[in-house]
Amino acid sequence: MGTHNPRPLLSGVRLVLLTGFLGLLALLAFAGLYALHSLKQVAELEDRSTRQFIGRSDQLESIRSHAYAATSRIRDYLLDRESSAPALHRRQAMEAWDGAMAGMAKYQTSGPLNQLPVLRQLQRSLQSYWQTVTPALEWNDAQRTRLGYDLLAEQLSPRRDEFLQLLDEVRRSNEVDLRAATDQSAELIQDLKNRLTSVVVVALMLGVALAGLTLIHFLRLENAARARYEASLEDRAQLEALSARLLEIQEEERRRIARELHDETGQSLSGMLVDLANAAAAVPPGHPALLERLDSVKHLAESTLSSIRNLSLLLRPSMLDDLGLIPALRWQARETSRRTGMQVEVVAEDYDLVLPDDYRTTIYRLVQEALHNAARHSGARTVSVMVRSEPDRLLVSVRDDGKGFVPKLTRGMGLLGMHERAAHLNGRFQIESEPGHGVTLTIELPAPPGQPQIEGGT
Amino acid sequence: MKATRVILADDHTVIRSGLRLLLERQPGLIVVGEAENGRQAVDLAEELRPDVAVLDIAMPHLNGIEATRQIVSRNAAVAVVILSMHSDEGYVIRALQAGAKAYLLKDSAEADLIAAISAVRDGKSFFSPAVSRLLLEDYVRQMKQKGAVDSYELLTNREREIFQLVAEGKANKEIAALLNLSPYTVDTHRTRILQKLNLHSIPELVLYAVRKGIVS
Repeated sequence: MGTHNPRPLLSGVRLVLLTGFLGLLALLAFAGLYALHSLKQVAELEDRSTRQFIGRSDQLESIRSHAYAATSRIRDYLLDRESSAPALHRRQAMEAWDGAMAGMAKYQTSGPLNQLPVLRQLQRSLQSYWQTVTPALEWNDAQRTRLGYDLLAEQLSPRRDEFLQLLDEVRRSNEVDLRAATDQSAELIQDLKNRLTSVVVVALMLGVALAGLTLIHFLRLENAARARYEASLEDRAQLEALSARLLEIQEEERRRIARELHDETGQSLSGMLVDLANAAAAVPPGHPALLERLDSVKHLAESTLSSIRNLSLLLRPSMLDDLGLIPALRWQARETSRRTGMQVEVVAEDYDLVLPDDYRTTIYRLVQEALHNAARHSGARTVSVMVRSEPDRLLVSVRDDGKGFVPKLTRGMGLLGMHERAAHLNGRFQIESEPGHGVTLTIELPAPPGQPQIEGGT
Repeated sequence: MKATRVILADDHTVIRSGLRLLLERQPGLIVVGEAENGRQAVDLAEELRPDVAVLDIAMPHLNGIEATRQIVSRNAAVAVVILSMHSDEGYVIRALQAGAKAYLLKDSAEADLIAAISAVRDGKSFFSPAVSRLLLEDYVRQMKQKGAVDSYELLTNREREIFQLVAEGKANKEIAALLNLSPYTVDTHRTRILQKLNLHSIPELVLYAVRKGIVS
């Protein structure tokens, strides 16, 4: 399989993604803070300029009303013919004028610089009015009656109109200022809008780039995972094929050696035994030593023949090929019985069951392994091997009355191998057991392919 | 007495010639032909009509069991003696089913062949002592493990008598003559014996008898 480098925690793509996401978050946070700050600024600006405007308007209004009241009293003073009135009018006029002057002085200190020229003009206009009025304030009734109207009409009214006009001008200037402030805040808002738009566009682009990158990375990971999964499936299939092939080769080898031992070596020894008997018969009387020698050779040949036969049967019982599955299983059952003392019975409806070679071999080896396991681990007294051939399947079960086990907790190589063997014939291998209730192994194979093989041979 | 005519079939020349030597030392035995495979043996039996055919179980072309089946089906008078490397009952039962009368292990052939030929010549069965012993041991062990009642005990005296005669290879007519019964009665007994012992064929009955040591 491929090399497994331990991946660093922050490798290329991950680093880029992390930086990107952090950048995106920072950008969004910055945009939010900036928007808040800007809005606050705009609000403050508007608030300030509105207050200023209202304050100035109030002051101007005060100046204007005081000045206007003063001019009204001056007019009354000049035109009123009541004897007691002029003194009152004069006093009221002077008080109102003082109020206007005080307001004027206050406005001048707080007024904006751009209004200075017009304010100076206003100041002069007011001064000029009052200088014109001042001499008249000392007039007697006759003077007032004679000169009053002319002074008012020719000198004072134009001057009054002038400063009232100037006051209006100042007010307009204030209004212009307010409009400028409003324009400025609108500009600020526009500015904010532009900046926010660009931040959002950048964030969107970054987001799209990140999403794309993430998607690509994810797809690549997914592809890699799928490739790895497919490779592992393929490896598994290969492994299974290999193990099947190995079993096949092993079986073939065993069969060959068993047959060789049995047919060649065994037959030669049998021939030797017959000839030994003939040789012994041909020995003329009076040679007991020679007969004894021949007899010991005969015993040696017999025991050799016996071991060779056992070896051959252990490798692969000839019954499997000569007589079929059931006789081979019966032999195996008797052998196990003889060796272990377990009672092993083979139950088969059809003694002459005809099966293809791979079926015979597979079932035989599975049962052999099962009996082996039962003898080693189960402590069973009886084992029952059942073979049943049904139209669409072949059932083999091995049931013992031993101590059982918990199948989920037991996964030996033996059981795994049995699984594999059954799987090679597309069969199923099942273990049922629980402690104290013995073990039942079930092998279910699909019905063997049609053509019945002629069994036997030797 | 007329000499017993024997044919020998084995694909191993050494064994064949050895056995021939063995048999020809015996008065009253003549080896009339030799075959090196099953097909030849069948032809030879057909042609020479021997009393006994000694067949190796493992032969090319046609194995000993198949050859036995063909020889016996063509000429039931030929008594077949099987020579085998296998002591397993699977082979024994196959040989008996095919019609063989005697089953010998090759490693004791030189000791048992003469006895086997004379037994089958008299219409009896014969098994190598090693085979009988194995069958008997298996039977005893099974009985012990199962703790079962010996089904042989279920047979009446008359049935046991007939059982032994059947196991020895006697036909119904012979048994009827021997026991002074009608062949029909003998047949009824036979059926009941098979039922009681849970056996399905005469070869199984013969094996059963061998296991119990009633015939050898």
